[in-house]
Amino acid sequence: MRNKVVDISLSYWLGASVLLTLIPLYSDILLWLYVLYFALWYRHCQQLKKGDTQAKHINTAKKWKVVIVILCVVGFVVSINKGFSLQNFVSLLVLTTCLKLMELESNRDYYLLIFLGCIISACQLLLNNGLLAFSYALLCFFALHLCLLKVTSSLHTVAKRHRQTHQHRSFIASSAGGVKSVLVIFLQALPVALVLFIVVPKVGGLWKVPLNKHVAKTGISDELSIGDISQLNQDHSIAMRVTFNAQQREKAELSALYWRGLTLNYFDGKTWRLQQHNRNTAALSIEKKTELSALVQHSDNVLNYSIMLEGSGRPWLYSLQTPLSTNSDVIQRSDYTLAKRSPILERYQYSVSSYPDYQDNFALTKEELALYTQLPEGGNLASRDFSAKLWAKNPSTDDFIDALMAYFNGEFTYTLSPETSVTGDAIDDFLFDTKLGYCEHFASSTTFLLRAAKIPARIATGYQGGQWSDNQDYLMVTQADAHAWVEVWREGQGWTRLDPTAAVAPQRVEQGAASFLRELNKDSNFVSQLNNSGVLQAFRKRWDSVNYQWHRWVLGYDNTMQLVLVRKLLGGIEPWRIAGFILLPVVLLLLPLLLKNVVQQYRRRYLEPVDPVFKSLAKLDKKLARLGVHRAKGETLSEFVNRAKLKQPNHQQRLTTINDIFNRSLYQDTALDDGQSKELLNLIKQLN
Amino acid sequence: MFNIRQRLAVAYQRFLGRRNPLKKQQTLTQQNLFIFPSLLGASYLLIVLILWLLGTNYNNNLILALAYLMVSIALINIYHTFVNMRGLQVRAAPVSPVYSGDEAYVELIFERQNSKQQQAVSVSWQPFTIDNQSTRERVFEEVLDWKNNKQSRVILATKTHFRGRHQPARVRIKSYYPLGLLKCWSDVAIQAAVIVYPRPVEYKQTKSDSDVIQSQRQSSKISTVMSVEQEFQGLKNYNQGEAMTHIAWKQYARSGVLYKKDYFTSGAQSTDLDWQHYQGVETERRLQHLVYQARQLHAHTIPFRLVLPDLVIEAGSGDQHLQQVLTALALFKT
Repeated sequence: MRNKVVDISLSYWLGASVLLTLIPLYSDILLWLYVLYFALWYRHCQQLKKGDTQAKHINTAKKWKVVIVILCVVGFVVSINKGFSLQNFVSLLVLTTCLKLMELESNRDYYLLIFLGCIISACQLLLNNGLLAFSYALLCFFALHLCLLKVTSSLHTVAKRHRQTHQHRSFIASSAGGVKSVLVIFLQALPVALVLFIVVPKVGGLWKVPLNKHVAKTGISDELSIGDISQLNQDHSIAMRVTFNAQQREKAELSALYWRGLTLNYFDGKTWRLQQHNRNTAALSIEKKTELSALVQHSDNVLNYSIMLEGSGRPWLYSLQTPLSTNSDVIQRSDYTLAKRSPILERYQYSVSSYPDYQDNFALTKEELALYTQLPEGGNLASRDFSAKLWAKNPSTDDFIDALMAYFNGEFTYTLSPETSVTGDAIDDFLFDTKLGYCEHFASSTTFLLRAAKIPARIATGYQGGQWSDNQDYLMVTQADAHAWVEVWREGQGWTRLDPTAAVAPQRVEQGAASFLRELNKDSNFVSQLNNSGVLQAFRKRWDSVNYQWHRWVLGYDNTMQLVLVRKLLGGIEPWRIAGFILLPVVLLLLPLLLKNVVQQYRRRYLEPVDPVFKSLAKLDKKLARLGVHRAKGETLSEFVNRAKLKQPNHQQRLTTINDIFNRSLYQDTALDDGQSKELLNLIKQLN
Repeated sequence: MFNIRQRLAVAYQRFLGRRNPLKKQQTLTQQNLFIFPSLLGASYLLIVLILWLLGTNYNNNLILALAYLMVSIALINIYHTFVNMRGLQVRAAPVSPVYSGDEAYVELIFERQNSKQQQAVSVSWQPFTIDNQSTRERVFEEVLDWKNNKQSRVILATKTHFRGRHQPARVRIKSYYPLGLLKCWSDVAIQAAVIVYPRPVEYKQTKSDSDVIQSQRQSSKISTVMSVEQEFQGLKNYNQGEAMTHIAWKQYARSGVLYKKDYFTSGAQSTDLDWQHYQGVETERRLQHLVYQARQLHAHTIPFRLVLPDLVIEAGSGDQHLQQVLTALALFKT
């Protein structure tokens, strides 16, 4: 079916549709491709208008084509960044599309262009997977399928034999009539596609693909020096979203939600670090894991929730105290934090069960004791001195901590803009000079003091609290909720949480960062006020809620969710159920058609008036069959009647008359009047 | 290779003959409509596969969703393609007779029940048939142009080769509507018998024929068949009451039988076209000569009678008479 297309309206439609797929790529592909596209499309339309088919022109055009192709390829090679990236791949696709415009002649070329448009539109989703982007891709697909319909229905048949072009324009090619047809097809296809999406199992990646995405490392880092977190606290972007099990929603109290990310155990005088290659980052031993999972299974006090983490460029995952995750690519670490095997580049969803009452009351080994009471050789001498004095007054761990908290509560102020330390000893400056600080100041100095008193301690970083979404079905945790606190090892209890910030500014913990910061920011500049204003916040929340559900249910739809959902929907995952589910929309679609057919047949059989001649004919057959003369298949009436006459000589006269009447009405096209048909019926009746 | 193809074609024809026999009027139903993916449909599925691989490898649910959407569109398309074709009725208008070797023009009348149906339907002779001469070359396709009417007419030409009653090949009605992914077609056999007259051929008398004519004279039949341009056509038996001036006295003197000279006149006088005039000529050839002669006589409006071994058509003139005569010659059974 290689037919020449001469209809210019098709070119307009197709050019516009393909352009539609290119628009959202402006930041990812080479910009001169747009210029090329417009130029070649314009040229194509001009040529089509002129009807440029002379051989001479074609030859010169061929030379030009070669030049253009070479120029484009050279330009492409020069302007792309080296190496294979998704952006370059899409650029190459767009370049191909542009060059195809140069030889857009037969319907096959049009079809190829449409298919290229489909692939480009799909690739756009690799770069942006929001709800809007998908809606836009659907729009592009609609436009492209409309073009498909238009090309198909504008059959321009060139008959080789007749050497003449038969141009035919159906109403679809010329008007917008196709829109409705394609819309109907789309609306019918969407439920089927939805079912396929829900049911068809997801296969993991078949081969590794480079997802050339440079994700900036954001959020909490594996280092903590003073001033890090207060920078984060100005950032209102979402860090993660948490959905609790419906029944457990009430249990989750904001002030108790400490999302642990990682623990830092090494201090060099300025910065807290996670010392690699030690027990913290090692995977949790299998015995502990089974112990924990047994507890989780049998305890009532378990929080089940799933977290969707924004891409952070870092591997660690956040969870409530004592987490257990069944996701296969989540590592359970021995300090009871979770981590993914590879850095999180895109949104990542994982589910966790947390058992808050669990206590790992192991004894610290000597090395561990040394690690968790480690302090740098010199520096912060005043703090060490202060710690020694405090320990002398309160020689037990609990008393020491109480006294320390009381000290913080009495003289310290929580602020977002603490003064930067002038001397090298940041902890000394904070404790005895400024007394203004933020969570990392408190956590850092508390840990320092504890360690100076030989009490094992470490810093835990993560987020604290969050904001409930409008309809309260999920918790939004923003970067502003970033937090640092202390974990102390107590004899017989293991690691316990100690939050010095709560001692200084309990509102920070109880209200959550957002509202607390709003209060703090009351008299600051206009932009941050606007940022925190009610309307904007409400809109942000609403939009985020839609976006979150999108990510949770559509983008995050994986095999685990599939299993749960299919089981929920169908009551099981047996093959027959799934097959039935797939067939359901098909049947619903075909049922009206089937019914229509049945009704039509019924009408034809029972309701439509039947020619009296055929009725009488059927009666005659019946009567004669009773007399033992059966009509053979294909036997004409006359032959049949003659046979009947031989068998029933006493009816000869009647049969002859009947035959005459029939022949007259059947073959001479003169309809029987009432008298004749009555006579006929009477005669048939008399056959006994 | 060709053998297999041929055999398949034969099997397909046999299958069609059983499933979809010759009828006066055909209505397209699921009984006689076939649907199969077109080349475009196969490419479409290839694109689906590409999207699926893309979505799977990049673990992108949205691209997978698009792939599923395309699959669904292809599935839904089956229904739409079928509905577009369903219910189309086709019959043939009476076909004017032609001389063998000429093209007969079969006018097909299409009727639809719904003005939204039957978009982009093309009509052609069934390709790849044994008896169809266009086995190898591309068949000529016409596209139905409804112009918002319920009826559309299409004329297809078919070459005739032999005299007699010629039933044209099956008609292929096909459509790729709406998206071109599927080909929906029906090969219907519609009663459109064409009467094919033998091709007219002038009778040229050769020398060896003169003996034959001599013997014909003896058997008191027409002696010579002369070309029409001559006024004098030949000799005929003299019947009582005919003009004495036309009596061929010379012949009378020779044989003792009264002949009359036969001239072209428009009167009640008529001529015989007799099978027996062409002794020794092969049957088909004879029929061709008779057709030629009949046409000439008709052109000069001379009444004539046709005498065949099993049929006699009484003398007459005019278009209807000519048609009757030619039809008898076309259907002559050897």
